[in-house]
Amino acid sequence: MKKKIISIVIALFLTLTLAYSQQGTSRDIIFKAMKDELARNMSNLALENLKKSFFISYNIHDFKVMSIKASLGAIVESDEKPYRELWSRIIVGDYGRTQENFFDPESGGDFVSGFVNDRLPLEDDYDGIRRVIWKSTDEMYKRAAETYEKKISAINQQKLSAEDSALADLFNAPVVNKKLPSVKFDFNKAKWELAAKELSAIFDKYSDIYKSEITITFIQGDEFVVNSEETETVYPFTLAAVQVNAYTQADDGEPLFDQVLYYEITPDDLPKLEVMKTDVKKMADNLTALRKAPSFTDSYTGPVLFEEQAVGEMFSQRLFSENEGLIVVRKLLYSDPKMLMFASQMIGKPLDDKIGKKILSDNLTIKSTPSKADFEGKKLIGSYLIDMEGVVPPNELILVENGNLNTILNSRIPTPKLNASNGSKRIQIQGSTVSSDIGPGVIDFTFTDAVKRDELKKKLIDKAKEEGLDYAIIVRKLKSPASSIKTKMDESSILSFASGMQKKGNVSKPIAIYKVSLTDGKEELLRSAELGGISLSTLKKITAASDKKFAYNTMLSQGGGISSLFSFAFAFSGRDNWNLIGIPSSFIIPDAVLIEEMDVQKEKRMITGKLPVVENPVGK
Amino acid sequence: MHKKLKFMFVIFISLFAAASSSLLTAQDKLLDLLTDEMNREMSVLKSQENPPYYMCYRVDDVRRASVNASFGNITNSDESHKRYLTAMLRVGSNTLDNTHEIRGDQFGEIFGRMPQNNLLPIEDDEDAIRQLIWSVTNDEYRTAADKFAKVKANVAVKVTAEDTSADFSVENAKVEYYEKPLNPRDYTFDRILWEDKLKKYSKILLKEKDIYRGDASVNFSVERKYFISTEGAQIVQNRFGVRLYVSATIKANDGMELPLYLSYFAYKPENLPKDEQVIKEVTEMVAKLKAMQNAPVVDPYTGPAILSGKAAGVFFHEIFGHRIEGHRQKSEDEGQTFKKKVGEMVLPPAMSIIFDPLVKSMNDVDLNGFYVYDDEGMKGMKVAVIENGILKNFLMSRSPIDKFPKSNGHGRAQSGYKPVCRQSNLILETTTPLTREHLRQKLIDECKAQGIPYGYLFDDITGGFTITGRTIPNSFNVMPTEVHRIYVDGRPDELVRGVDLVGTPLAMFSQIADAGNDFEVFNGTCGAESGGVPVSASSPSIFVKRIEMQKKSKSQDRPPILPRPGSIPE
Repeated sequence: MKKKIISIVIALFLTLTLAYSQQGTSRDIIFKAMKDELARNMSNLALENLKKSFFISYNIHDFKVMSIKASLGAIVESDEKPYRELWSRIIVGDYGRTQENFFDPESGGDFVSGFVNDRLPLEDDYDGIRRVIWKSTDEMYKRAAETYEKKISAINQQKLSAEDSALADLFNAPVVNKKLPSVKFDFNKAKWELAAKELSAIFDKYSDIYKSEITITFIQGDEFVVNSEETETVYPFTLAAVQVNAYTQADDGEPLFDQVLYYEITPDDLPKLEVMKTDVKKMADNLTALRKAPSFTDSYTGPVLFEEQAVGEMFSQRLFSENEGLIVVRKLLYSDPKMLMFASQMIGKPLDDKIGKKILSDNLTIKSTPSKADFEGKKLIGSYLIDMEGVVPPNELILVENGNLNTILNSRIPTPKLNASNGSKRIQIQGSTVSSDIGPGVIDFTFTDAVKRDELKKKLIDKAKEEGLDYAIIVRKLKSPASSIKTKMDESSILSFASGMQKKGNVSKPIAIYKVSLTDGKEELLRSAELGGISLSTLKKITAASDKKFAYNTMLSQGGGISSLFSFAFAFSGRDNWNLIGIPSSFIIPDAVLIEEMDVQKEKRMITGKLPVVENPVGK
Repeated sequence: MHKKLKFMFVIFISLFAAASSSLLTAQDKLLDLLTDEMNREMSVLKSQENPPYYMCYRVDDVRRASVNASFGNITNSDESHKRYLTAMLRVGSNTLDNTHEIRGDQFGEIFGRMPQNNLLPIEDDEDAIRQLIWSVTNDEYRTAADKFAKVKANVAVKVTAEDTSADFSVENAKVEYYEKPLNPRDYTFDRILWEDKLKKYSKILLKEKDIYRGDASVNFSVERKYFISTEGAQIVQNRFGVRLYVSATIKANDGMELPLYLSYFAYKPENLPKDEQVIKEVTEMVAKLKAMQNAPVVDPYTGPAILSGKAAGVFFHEIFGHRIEGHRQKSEDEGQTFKKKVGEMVLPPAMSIIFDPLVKSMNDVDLNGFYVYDDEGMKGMKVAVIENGILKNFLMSRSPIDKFPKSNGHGRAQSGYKPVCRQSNLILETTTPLTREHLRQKLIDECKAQGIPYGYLFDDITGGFTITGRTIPNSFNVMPTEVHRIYVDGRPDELVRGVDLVGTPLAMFSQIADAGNDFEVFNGTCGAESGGVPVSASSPSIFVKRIEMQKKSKSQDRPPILPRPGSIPE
């Protein structure tokens, strides 16, 4: 009798377990599948004579994405669909030495992992999710175990510096158990299709604009992270982007671009349609005016005043993009020295060797405040509480204090000057997939002795006079690399890739740059001007900043031009295109800064296309 | 009076032409827009220093629905609607224009074949459509004019080409052909129904515990294809089709990946096989995979073989079809295997090979290579390439070759790509069909004659590739998925694995002896320099006196270390 009762209890238990696995909430089922498969692989996954994995982590990106593209009042494409993919990270060795941070041409190494995700079942099917994890883990483990042996062999063959030899391969990180609620919003595709049509129809009246396009992308979902250190987190990820781009040519053939970009957390945070329409119309007017603006032919060295969007782009591109500046990327070990040519492309010029030294002007302090959700009512898309490696970043991290470099953004990959992750492995949108990279969240720039914005223009003029110059320069808008419109002259992203290689230290071309009269302060719009390289010594010459700050949301691309290759590949792969690339980032910055001295010169173009022979059919 | 009559007659003709044209285009605003914009562009461009002498626009309006499943779970399910614009301009004259090969500039040739990626609005908005056409035309005109200057310089500095044919054939290309828009009610795709079906089909793959990849997919597309040219072509045709694909992979203990697949094509979803048939065939595939896992690995072999109809179809497509594509007889980088063989016997006298894009189905199987007009606006024609064993013709686009100055409607391309000669529906015919038993006996007799203890039967093939260039050996490699060894001494047939069928085309062709009375169809997508185009290959089984097999390159990875999670369904 007792035996029978036990049997019934066991049967009931099994039934309940099964019922749980099949009927739990979506999150429960996903977590259970991740954890169970992780435990099974940690215990049992091994190949004879090879190291077992000592660390496994799984990320599941469980998103829904809507993407609309329109031009001149008509829909070009419109799509809404779920996206659920797995990224597995299997590490062999120990914290001191793993197979990571190593490039071997055969295994692809760190270049490949992170870009290759596995498609998961769209249904919450426990077994189905486990099967994908199982297959991915098996393949990644075999590659990792073999790469580990190759790496050890390479280390034995190469003479590493004492510093490189002592450098561990993975930081320990505290266990995090945080499950944050999802953020839900209605996509309302029909409404936004109409908005896309209305916004894009504004260009109908502009015969001098050759191409225009609007894209609207909404992403809503949860990011799951589980690792073998027992970290278990889920947090919401949402984004609402409206990107308007336009292109034309000046009479001498110079390609001219302008853009209006809105990046917000949800569609409700976007400006009202009427406000967007006004902005887009203003942009179209500016671009038309730019065609007729005089071409800059001079070579200028002197004070430059950056205002509004240009401040955000200048700081974000120079200090937080393309693996440069305040982002540290580990120097890889190469199995074949010939592969070193890749190194210069992949690794920018991080400033970690300058920790403890003065790198910027005394009056500047830069903090990372990733948990800050808004600034003066503006929501910050860079805000996050947990990074893609399941690390909780500090609420406040002083990167630069009064010009001195304190620390730099990193991940769980150790670099010489840092001893722990500061949780900066960010989510990155890559065409139509999700990956991760080191990047900023919310960055706050504070200048001591800030002054009223009006005073800055006076200071600019005074400084130019002092230098004996004929005029001064103001920059109000730089082309944001976050978004672009395809044109024949740059459609080959191989060229973009090449320009990515050249770009180190530079910032993009100004869209709104003005020559300022020293006598009456009158401004004249210019074209064909480009800014000289903004080195650290240039940034040390920031002598004044406005006391009014604003929040600038943008998407930052990393990876030294590789992202443009990816977008090129997506265009022909037949995959969906979300028309979005980069790490969501926010910058709290003064609305104007004065750089005492920098170069502005005539743009050097490799190719200039002729004007169209036939008249634009639009706007007549 | 006479003069007046003539005048009236001219007016009558003009009016009639105008009326018929407006009747045609009134039904399709996009066609109107394309035509108007082309006329506007040409009227201005013709006064340029290097004017285009020809211009055409292709628009492919594609509605697609696709569902993917893996081991009983849906991993993707969506629908899309896109319109692709491809513009082509020719600068120079039909004897020498910008499309002429620049000899010695292989990089430039490859770069020049890069596809255009122009998405037109899916709504018939005049401004939006016109501006994109205008912008693309301008870009293509600049590219064409620049390329033509390079062509002229290249012709001047290089020796005379072996084939001095013109670059563009002179044709009667003024065609008006208009298919009415499809009634959406007749071409529906029930995505929910298909999600259920794919779950059902792919779940069967769970029954064998060692299958580690088990997928099913269905892709349904309805296309409306527009073609207009400055030669007066106005063609609007519909294309639709659905493909169901079930595939599974198992690994042998030595790491060899063993994939099998089932592929079905039909014009409409309701014409795909019923559930019972698919389930039965998937179940058989699972059993076959298990058997293959334990099958012996074959050593390199040369000797007699039988290719099943499906395998023979792929085989002819790869080793023969690509070599009789006209433009390959012209390029000086190509091997031109068959160029000088016209009029010669290349197959047994009983065999003929035709390409016929106008055949919609064969033995109740829909053919994927069907079309009325090709992507250069030429009517698809039935082409007997080999008649009674003798090579007679080539597949021709509008790029002429020596002695073949006209197109036979095989200029094809994927959206965005420039058309080149491509295959359509390949059909192998024989006047002396043999039964399978007869073919088998022939194989055994031939083995005995050659003193070989066994021959091979290639039952299925996953695809293949062929090298048609000159710089590396002009060879082919066909990848069988199901191979049986047939013993001379009467032992039962034995499933084997691990071989590819390789060789050079002329040597292999000379060994083809007989064809069967069975008939199988392979429907697929063929990829080459003008992108992926839908094709089919239909053939009876064939008996070949001597084939060559080499070891298949194989993955060195072990089978999955841990058992696949989840239960095994009943």
